[in-house]
Amino acid sequence: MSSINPRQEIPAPFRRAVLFSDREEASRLGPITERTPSWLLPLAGKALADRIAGSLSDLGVCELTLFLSSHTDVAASFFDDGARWGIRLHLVDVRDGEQMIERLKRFRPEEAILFGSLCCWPNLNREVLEAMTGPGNAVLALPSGEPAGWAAIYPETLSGLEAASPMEMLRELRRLQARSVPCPGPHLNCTTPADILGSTRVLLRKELEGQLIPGASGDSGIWMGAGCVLHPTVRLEPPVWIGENSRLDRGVRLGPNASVADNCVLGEFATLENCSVLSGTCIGDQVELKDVVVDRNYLAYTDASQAVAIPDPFLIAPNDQLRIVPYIAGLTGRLAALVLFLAVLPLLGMLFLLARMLGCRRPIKFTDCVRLPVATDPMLWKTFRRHRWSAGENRLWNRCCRNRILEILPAIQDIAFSRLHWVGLAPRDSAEVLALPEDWRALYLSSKAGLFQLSETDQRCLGDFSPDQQYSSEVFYAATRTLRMDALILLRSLFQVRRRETSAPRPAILSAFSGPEILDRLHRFLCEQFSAPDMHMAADRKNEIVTAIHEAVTNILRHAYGNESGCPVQLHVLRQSGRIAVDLYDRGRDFQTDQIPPPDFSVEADGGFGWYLIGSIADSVNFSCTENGWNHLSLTFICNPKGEIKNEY
Amino acid sequence: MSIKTRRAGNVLVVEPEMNRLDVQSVPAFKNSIADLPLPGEHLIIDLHSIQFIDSTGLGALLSLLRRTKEVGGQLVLASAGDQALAMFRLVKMTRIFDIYATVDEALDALNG
Repeated sequence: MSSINPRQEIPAPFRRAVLFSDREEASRLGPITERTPSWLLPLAGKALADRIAGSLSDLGVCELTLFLSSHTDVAASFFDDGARWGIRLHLVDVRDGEQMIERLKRFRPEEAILFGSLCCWPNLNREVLEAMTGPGNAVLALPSGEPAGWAAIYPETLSGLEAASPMEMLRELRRLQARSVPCPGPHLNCTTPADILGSTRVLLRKELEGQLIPGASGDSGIWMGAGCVLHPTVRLEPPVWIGENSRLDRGVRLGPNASVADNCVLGEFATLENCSVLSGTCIGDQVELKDVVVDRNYLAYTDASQAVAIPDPFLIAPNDQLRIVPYIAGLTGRLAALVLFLAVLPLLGMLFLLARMLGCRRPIKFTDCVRLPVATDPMLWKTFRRHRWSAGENRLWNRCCRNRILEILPAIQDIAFSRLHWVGLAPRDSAEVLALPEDWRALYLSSKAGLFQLSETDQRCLGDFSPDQQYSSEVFYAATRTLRMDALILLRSLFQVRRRETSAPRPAILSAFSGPEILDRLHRFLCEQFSAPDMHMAADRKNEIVTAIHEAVTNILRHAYGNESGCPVQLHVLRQSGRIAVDLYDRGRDFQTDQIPPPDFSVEADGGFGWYLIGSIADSVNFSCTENGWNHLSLTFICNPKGEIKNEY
Repeated sequence: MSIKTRRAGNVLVVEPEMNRLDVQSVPAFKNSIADLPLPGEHLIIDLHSIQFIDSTGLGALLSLLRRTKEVGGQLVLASAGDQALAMFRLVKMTRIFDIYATVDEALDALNG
């Protein structure tokens, strides 16, 4: 067991709880629950089982036993050992009520057990639990007198009791004079479509205390998960909940009392009221739905005994059924890449040999990039090896590496073997993905990585290589990508490769993270930039510029990030005629340049020259904070030395 | 990181063995020279292997200079590279530090 509940020491009404799942109850949602049990269907973003386990943990329960007659493998995968709720969890496979009673008798006979249904949560709080403790068994009762599915049971009292199901056992206990404790307020239930819709409504109206609804929300009654894309004409009538990475197209009307789970698509002018749409569902254009639970191609109406299957994939369907065309396009692209890879294989071999002859020992390097799309949890990320040329010390080889056509050759095999797409977002390794802002990261992880990128073509066209521009392009692409758009980006990229001399000059970019390696990487990068054959500048001026950039990066590490590791720093160096433009970006604390004290040039000084050095060496210095939280320091250096040290050596 | 030292009379020649004296290497440098100098001892910092000094490195040298003066000694620099010399000039430290082209010149100056 990996964790112990710290609440163990606090006296709690119940230390142990036993939850059951009734096969009869779980079957009422028809085919929807064949794969996923009803207690794992999302109620406003969280499964009822998740909510119950969390609430029990909050109420001091530290031992939880689940009696399941079906879906034990799904439950084992979902609950694991219960450590995520801070409880010890045991799964028991029981066939029938008789076996369940026998298992209940094995617990300590004198200790009361909280016994309840996985499909119902009656808003238990400490007062109710204390009312349930006391001498003898107690059954929580609905206003109608029927058991609510929860009870306090002493195992020693179960001798001679016979019941075919847990609910029958509760009724039997009630008949045997168990105390009846009234069930307060609204409750959550997931047994029928009406229960799911009713429980979702209760949650969205915040009628149940202490139940969390995931996603960003103000007081408006509208919750949205990360990566949602809404057309500007979408109309939301609160209360509404939308899960992660869902897309609502033009003219969609959603709500009131509607919940749309993760990875759903609502087609144009679809109207949904009092509905619960489960994960991965696509609802077609102009479809109107009311009082229904929708799961992929199943509709479960409140007044029907079973969910009905809809065979027409244009009305409602699993998301993946509508991806046939992209799938065929992807396959075609991979085949094209495979053919191209075989065709350029001799050229690749020749370049490889040339590189070895020119002294580059490892001409091709690998980067472990995150395979997309993937869930937001880093534990689930898988990586693939992206192939690229490796720059060396030989100038001729470095020029070959920078050639836009030769540059892409090693990556063609990544496309051919399904690791990369022709068009997508920039491939990034795990550290780079983790350094992205949360909303950018969510969109990035739901998209795909490609050799050619919209952000790259946009940056070349606009001449703006800032992280903000990259963010704009990547978000636009992730939210609106279509096959047509991919084709256009591919054409634009190839056109730019042919006509690269007409596009805006691209700066050399160093993306790094704060930590012990960053200054070594910075100096290697600057050495590479300033040793280029077209760099005509006096050695002293190069030293000065390196000093100023070093001081600027040091300022970021010490003052913006407070010496914290793993924070992103981007350095852009653009060489132009007679000048060098340097842009530095970070996401740390900003600072007021006018509040920096003047340097102390006496023997008593202990540093504090950094900003002074930058200002003395650079010909222009500008500091600003962007709307997206990046600090931007822009430095310009005229290549001829300036100031007092000109031609001194 | 390590430093090499050699003694010539009352003068200790300290040679840091590193490429850069910067924010990254200064903590190790400060640890290495924590016990220096002895009372009345003069120091020569031989900078010939250091290709880059930043403002933090300058701060460390200033701190060592103060300590040396407190114990009645002198601190001089020798064999500074182009970048280091440019730094000293930019922050006007040429008025505070005595800088010699070689260690021998520095030794002559201190012994003479």
